[in-house]
Amino acid sequence: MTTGGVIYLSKKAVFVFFGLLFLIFFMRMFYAQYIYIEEALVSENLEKLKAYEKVILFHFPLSPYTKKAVNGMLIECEKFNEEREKLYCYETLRSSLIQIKSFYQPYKNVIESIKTKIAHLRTIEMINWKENRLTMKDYQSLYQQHMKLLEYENAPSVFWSIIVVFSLIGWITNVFIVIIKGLGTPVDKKFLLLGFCGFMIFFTLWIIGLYLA
Amino acid sequence: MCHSSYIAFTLFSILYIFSLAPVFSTGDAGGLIVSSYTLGVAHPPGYPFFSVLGKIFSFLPLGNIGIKVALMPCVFSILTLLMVYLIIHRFTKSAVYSLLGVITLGVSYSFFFQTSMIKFYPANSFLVLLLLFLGIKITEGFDRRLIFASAFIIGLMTGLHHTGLFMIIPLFVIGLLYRKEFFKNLPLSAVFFLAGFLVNLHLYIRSIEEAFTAAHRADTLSGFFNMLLRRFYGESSSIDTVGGAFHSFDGYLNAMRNLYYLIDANFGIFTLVFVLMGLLFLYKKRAIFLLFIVSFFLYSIALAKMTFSGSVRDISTMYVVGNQYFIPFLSLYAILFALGVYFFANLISKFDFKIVPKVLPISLILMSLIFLPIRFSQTVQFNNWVPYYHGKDALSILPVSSVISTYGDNHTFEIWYMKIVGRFRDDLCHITSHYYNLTEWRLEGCKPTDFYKPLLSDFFSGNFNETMLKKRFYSTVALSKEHPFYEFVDVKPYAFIFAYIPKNKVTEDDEKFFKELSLKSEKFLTPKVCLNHTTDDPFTFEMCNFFSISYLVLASSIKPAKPMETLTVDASIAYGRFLAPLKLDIQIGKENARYIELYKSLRAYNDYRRCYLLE
Repeated sequence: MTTGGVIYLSKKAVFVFFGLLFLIFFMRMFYAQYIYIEEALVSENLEKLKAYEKVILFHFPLSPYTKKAVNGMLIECEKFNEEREKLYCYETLRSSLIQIKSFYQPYKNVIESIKTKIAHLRTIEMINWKENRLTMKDYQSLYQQHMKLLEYENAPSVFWSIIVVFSLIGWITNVFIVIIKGLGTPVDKKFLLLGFCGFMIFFTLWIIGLYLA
Repeated sequence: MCHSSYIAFTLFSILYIFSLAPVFSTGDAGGLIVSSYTLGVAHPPGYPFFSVLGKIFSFLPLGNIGIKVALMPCVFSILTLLMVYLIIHRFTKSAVYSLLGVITLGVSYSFFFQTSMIKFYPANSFLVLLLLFLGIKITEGFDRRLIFASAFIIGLMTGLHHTGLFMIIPLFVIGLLYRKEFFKNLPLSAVFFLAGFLVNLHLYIRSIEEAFTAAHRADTLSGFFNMLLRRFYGESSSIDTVGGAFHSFDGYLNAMRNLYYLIDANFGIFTLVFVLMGLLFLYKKRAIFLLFIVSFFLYSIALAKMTFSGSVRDISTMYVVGNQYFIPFLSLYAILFALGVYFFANLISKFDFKIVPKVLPISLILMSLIFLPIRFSQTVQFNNWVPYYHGKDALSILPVSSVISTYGDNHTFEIWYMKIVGRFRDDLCHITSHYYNLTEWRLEGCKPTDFYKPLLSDFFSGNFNETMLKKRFYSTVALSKEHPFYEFVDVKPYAFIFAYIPKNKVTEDDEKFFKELSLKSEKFLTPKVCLNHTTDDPFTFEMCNFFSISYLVLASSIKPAKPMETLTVDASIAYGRFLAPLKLDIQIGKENARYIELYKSLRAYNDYRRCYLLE
């Protein structure tokens, strides 16, 4: 495992290590979804909602449990009579789906479809709050403001974020190439040049990525 | 590696991953996830390397953003164990002794605890051990590439945790063994250090771009260096902390006592004998001994003098300092322990006790493994939903488009996570102050402010009174005499938060209003998570104890038809050194007795005496 003065790990070992971690992580997701979907089936009202929320938070691609939880929540949300509960329900669904975002957003269509409901419920709640002294005449302007908030994207661009993280790995790797391959005895000019150019390219990309992400 | 090593690493991987909190843990976790997710700037020194590494993990297509970022420290813990294995194996050429070191560290309380938290300490420990490994290689023969690689890694560590910089000293000492070559290559080493240091440009660029910043911007040269040197923390800044080790010898005794306690809690004090033998074993290999003894001194006694020399072993001393900063020390300790056992076993085998080298390490491994289920049950965060629901419940009970102000890590970071990453109730404007007695609010949880201004025009025009009169100003902060609002504002407890009302404007109707609102909001609270989280994390207890106030408030909101007894609550809520009064009159009857029972259950379950490191 150690050779030539540096730690040497074969590609196979690295692959097996990260593969194993990914598998265990997947097992954790699967197990958690299983216990919380079972909990959802025997719960009522807001407790049922919270169990569904937990199922979504452990989402994995193509999970039947996530689908069941999202559909279950959509049904439950409509069952609530109080606007405050309805708002809590839709906010919970939206939030839990946003939290499972990776390089893509699962169930984007559901998030889009409930935005208007959330904006409507928030507006109604504001009007119903006696101390605000608002009336239905204010509905449109309040609704628009809430829609603006709901449509605002606060996360950095996925594309530029990927550029940032991989260009950072890129320039760090190239510095190591310069050191390990280029600065041996005697100096290997080919690797020195290759590493330096790689460093410059990835470093520039990293800086641009940080500005544009 | 032998088969049993593969099994051990797989076992640790399973236990560690299943120990992670479902979304995020207490402490800095919420803030660190937000800075990773937004590619922002965490609390000083900003931790840019952590943020980017966390961002890589957030791209995994499994689970929620919180647990994905939590996987990163977990991976670094496993890599730290791998480094422990490699270093021991280098000296003993024995898988059994290497495994002994791995298991000793792997089951130690603090190491297990940190693995399940979202923190930078496991990554820091891994890099410290990597540098130690490179140092060992340097002692075997000068190779300038090892010096350059070490300098570059130290440069990168400036973007992670400052205790990593201690490794400059032992590596420099080792470098002196090759004086001529070492000094010749020192200027180029400085260049590579600076190349690594470039990772901190993240702080400057993301500050200019107005990304999330937890404490202050680093968009000017002074802002940048204030961030790196942690000047924001005043007397706890990096320079002052290091200075604390040298300006006096006071506190060394306490530091030693606390270290002794930490060793006993993590490994048992009998291990100290073997650690001394480990040093004796290395003594013959002079250069390596020098490397180990300097590193060991810096990460134990010197660091303890700077940070761990309090005379009282309270939560702050044991869980903020001892349980976190000393992970590199514990790693070094485990290595020396395994080397000491190896030395002892070989020594005794010379006296016809040939069975000892075979039996002793295996017996010690088995003994350590007994602690595995204990550690798992103590530190497991598998079911710890407390930070998540604590933040979510606080936001859930607020009226639409109101203001919530917070102070302190626990409340601020969890609400940042819920609002910025989770986008839960993003109609609310979250403001936070780093100092209890100041109202210099940061608006990271209320951005972009242009979107909030039309919905909270009174607040943004400075008319806080109007916002309060509309019953839309809430806080997790009760007011003590030292708070700037104390003279102007009355607080009304509302579940576990407080409504702010202009002084002397609270009418009887308002009293009734908040009582009814508390009762109506009860259904949004999640007390269950405070009764089954299973962890012994004191900050989880802190949150749950704070949350338990809800049930006193609920009990006081009901006037029973036939009161059985009257309970007068005259307590104080501590915000650092500030004590804010909490007064409630509760008439207990059939209608509200269940709230009192629930309050008692919450307090009993979240008893600090359950914290393993507290005496």
